[in-house]
Amino acid sequence: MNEIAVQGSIMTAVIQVIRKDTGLVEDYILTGTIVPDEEVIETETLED
Amino acid sequence: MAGTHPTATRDAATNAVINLIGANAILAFRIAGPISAPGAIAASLIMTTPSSFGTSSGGTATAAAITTNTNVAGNASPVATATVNTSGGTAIFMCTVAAVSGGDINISSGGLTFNAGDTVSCSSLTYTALAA
Repeated sequence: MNEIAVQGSIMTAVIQVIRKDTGLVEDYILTGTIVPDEEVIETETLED
Repeated sequence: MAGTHPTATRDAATNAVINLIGANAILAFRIAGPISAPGAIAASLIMTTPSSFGTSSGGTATAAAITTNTNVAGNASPVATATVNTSGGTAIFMCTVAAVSGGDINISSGGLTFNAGDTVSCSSLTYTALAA
């Protein structure tokens, strides 16, 4: 993959998940920061 | 050292990126992995033709409608990154993903996971190439 984005770039997404097993609807606002190469990510999630 | 980009510069940078994305791009939520070897896709959503993103305004481009995936692949590991790929599968950018919510919030130490067969939709997606 060519890394073409500049550090400092951001992405935001609003997503909804409907669980197949329970039918539960979950809404998330995701924020992303463009990462440099060789970065391994861990994240902590806040959810409804 | 701090730097500042005029809006026109920010728009140019954002438009350069979204022009690489093209139509029918793929928004993929992935488990952890470096950009050189992105993690497995937990959920993928198809973006819109003829343009996945609109023209940048104020340095930010907003995606057109994104198709809901009613049967995602899922993964036991939490989502850690997202990529936007061309329709041919070439990744244009990757970002880390952290979830926040404006509603009642519970902190989940396990993070956001998608299970196989879940339905995932994306009602809003924006991309900003440069900080102001």
